[in-house]
Amino acid sequence: MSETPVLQIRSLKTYFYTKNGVVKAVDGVDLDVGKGRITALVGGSGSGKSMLSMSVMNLVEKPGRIIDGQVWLNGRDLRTLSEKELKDVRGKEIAMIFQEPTSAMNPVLKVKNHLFEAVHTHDKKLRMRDKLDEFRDVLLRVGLGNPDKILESYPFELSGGMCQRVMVAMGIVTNASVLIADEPTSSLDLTTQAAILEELLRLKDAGMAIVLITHDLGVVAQTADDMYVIKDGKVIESGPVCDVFASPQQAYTKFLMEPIALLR
Amino acid sequence: MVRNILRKLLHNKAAMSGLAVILLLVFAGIFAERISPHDPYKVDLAVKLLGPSARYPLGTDQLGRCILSRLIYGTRTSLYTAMTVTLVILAIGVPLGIIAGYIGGAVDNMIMRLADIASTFPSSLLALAIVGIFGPSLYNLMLVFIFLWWAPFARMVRSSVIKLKETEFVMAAEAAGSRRISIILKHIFPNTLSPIIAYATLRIAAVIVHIAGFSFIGLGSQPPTADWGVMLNDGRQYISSYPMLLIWPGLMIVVVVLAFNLFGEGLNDALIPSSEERAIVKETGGANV
Repeated sequence: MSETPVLQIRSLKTYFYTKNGVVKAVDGVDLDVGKGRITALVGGSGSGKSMLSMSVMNLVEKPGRIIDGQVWLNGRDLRTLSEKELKDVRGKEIAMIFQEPTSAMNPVLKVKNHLFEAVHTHDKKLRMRDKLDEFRDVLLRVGLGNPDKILESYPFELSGGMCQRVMVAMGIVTNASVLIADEPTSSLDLTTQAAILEELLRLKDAGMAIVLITHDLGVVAQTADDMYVIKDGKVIESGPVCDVFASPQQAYTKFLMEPIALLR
Repeated sequence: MVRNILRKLLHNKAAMSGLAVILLLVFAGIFAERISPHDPYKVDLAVKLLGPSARYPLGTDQLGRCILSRLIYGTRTSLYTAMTVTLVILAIGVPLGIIAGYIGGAVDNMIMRLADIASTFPSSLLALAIVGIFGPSLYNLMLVFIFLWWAPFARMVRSSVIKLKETEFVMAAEAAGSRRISIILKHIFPNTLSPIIAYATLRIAAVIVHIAGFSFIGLGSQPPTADWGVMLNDGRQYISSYPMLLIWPGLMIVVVVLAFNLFGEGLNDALIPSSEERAIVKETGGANV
């Protein structure tokens, strides 16, 4: 990477202070996310991938606390910003796609309101009717046919996979410079998964920096440029995807890759 | 979603008949002047204690006042007080519940201890105290229920807010940079509404029973006000000779309370999909005197 990365994380530490001791969810992570690249965070469940993304957004809740480190976004350290300034960063400069598609949507809001809120939060002058065409277009791109009907639907009227695609659409309409996608394809069939991944690749080509959190190495191999293997809150291996896949250095990485090797 | 709820509600015959009775009574209350055959306060001892006739459809009381007219005006008193009290306790309880649940910590603790006090304080005791200090009146009685009955609403709202605060969609809204106030108004408040609406309907019935009860023992509306509780009290001494003086207002109370309970239960079933939460409203919501 010759260009300066959009998002640079330096020795970030997020600890949880519980009755049974300190849990180091994120323990000194360094990470670079380049513009126009897809950076994959790989690791088993409980490895701290999702906590890392919450820490980047500064949304860690008690008993968790970010105790150290810097998060540089476009030359500003997010850790030094006030809560008010952070609200302008969240959803505008960094957008996030949440893991649980059905619970990450408000049951009383229609899909169009979800999409609209994603953009309206940062631009109060926007009108719903001016955005509808764009929303339809985005829904089609994430593989949801019949977008007019989807826009008027409530989350409970959609399947989990459809909700997940709406979530991806919500990430897309923000037009943020960094998109953090937490397991965006986990509950999709292979065809839809391919459509979403294609869309992510298209966004990447348009210059978005994408952080892809996943445990699916197949997805990583198909889309990502760089990868970070995370275990127990630490980055244990990183580099361009092809290098890591060609010669994994760590036992844990090899272990994660085993299922794929078996298929070969 | 609204369509689904309406459909469920429309198919519930009990709820619909409850609603029909409520609407009829509201209509009667609003247009009391037009539909009452007589002035409910006009005393005419020449026609006292008459049985039903064409002129006095339900007869007259011991002072010769038309019972039907008094019942119709009593509808106005009853519904007006019950609805006002319920709206005010909603206006107090819901925001306090949201504040307690959302902010948490010491604020939560303080509000919830106040709620504990309010919900353990016996209403009859407070009624006696307030009436003792300020004198008996319907408004003083309304104050008693406002002071005490905001608590269950605050508690209900608080518990749903605490649950909602942890949901991913609230976290997603935070991650999207939404302001606190818009998270509360768009994501939290609308999701607390269903149990509140159902519970409030049931509470109206409870307020009606309580106000009538306190008016009966002389702590609420004062004679000669056309109020069902007052009518019951007035008719007390004629219980053996002219029982209809008591039966009519008693019947009205039963009918209106039943109507609100049926409708409230119907709303409850339609609005709250999980039977577990429904049980909570049912257990605490009925007009238990």
